[in-house]
Amino acid sequence: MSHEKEEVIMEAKHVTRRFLSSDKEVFTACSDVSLTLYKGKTLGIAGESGCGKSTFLRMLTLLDTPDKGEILYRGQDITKLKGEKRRQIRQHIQMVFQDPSASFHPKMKVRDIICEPLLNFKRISPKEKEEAARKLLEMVELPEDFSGRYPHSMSGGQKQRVAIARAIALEPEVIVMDEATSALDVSVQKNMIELIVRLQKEKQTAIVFVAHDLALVQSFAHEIAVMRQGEIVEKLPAEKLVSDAKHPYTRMLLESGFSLSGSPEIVS
Amino acid sequence: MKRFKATKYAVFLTFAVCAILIILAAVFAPVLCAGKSPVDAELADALLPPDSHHWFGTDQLGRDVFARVIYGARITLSAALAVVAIIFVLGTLLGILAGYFGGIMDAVIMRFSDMMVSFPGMVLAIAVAGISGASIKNAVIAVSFVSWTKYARLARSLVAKIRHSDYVQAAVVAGSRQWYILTRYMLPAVLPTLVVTAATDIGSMILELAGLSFLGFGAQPPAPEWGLMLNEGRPHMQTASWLMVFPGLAIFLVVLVFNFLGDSLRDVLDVRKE
Repeated sequence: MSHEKEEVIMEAKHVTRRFLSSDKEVFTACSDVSLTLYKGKTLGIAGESGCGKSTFLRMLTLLDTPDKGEILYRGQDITKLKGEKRRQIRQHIQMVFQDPSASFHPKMKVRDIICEPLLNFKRISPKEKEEAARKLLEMVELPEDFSGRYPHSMSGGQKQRVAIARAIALEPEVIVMDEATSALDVSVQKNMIELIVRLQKEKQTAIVFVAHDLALVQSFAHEIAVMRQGEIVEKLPAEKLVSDAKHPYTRMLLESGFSLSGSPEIVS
Repeated sequence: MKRFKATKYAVFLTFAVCAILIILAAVFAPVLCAGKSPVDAELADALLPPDSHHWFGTDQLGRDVFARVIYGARITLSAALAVVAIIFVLGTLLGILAGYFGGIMDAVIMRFSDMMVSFPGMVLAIAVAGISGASIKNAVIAVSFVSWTKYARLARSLVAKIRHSDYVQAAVVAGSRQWYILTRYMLPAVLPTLVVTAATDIGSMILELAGLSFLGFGAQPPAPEWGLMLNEGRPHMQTASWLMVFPGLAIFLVVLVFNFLGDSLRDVLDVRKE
């Protein structure tokens, strides 16, 4: 792997997060996870449900704090930040949530949703909201008259585009996507990936894309990490995934995906 | 569907108009009573049955019962509304804080509220009256003291339900300040339920305060207060039933209107916007 020329944006070093379950048992959601994000590159994280992907993302976005290890944003450990400093860091790290129907205030219009981050950091005045919303909607290929609508009157794909518009509003250096396409139809998924790839090229954003579908991640990520039971079992450049994957779990994930080219084994 | 919606609004409007009429009656009591005083005694006219001059008759001191009932609405309504306003604001605030911040804040607020519910309202009111004297103000304080917990509990559970939802987390990631999340996300989520609870509570607070006054721990003579009037009329129940019938009827009607108002408000507010 050659990362010499690439600019490091974020780095997770030996991050561990444990939870105490109700019967006093310790459950380790993330164990010694170390990953690096580079400018303009996509890191895909694959693994089955409950493997600790989401916990890791929550720590990257400062929604949770690791028990051990550090998360560096441009060399600064952000897990120790408090209050206003912590809030200020948020403009560089944005997130797209998994369930588009649950990630918006039910009584906010699209324009208020996508301009909220801008208003929070006083990037625009309330008067400039309409104009900013129009630009953002254009970037995610939604008609501008959507700005006056409520998300619950929109389709899943449209909602997720609104979520992406909100995430790119602050022009963050890192966007974290937690199963951002898994709630969508396959055809819509493809459009969404194309949009993400285009936006990444334009803004040179580092993206962390988490999914349980290895094939989907592989289709556009630059590097892929496979997670299992809280640990990174294998980390590979995407183009070498099929040829170089050694860990039996990675191989299993590779083989478990449905494929159109394969013969219908289940039927026979 | 549309028709059902229209009916709901019609029902709500009907009771809202009734409630407003009651409040207007209290405000314009002097006009309604044509200058009759609710407190001036006229012993020569004592215990007159209802007639065209004294619509609801007179009491043992010759005071016009109609005037006393109308003026009574002032005390009863302002006291009940004061209680509801106090417990609504206090309970909602503490409940949202407990639910949002959790941890120590939650533990302190909720244990304090547990302590409060373990007092029967009446007993506490009697204690307060014993310490600082019986008055309508002290009754309001005593009732508020034990009643805010319901609002705190409701607000807390509603906030706890959405506290970790994606859209609140998304607001955090978007860099929202805590105050903004509390006022723009938490408050709107609890408000409809709590407003309905408050509206339904007006009726029960009227009853509670009237009960305290009846027992002598609330309003003091010669104030025209419905609970107190019931108590004053009690010795004359056999001979001058109007002394109890009209204040009782007033309590009954006002509580009924406010209860229905609360119920119809619930139906109206439950409609999801759009």
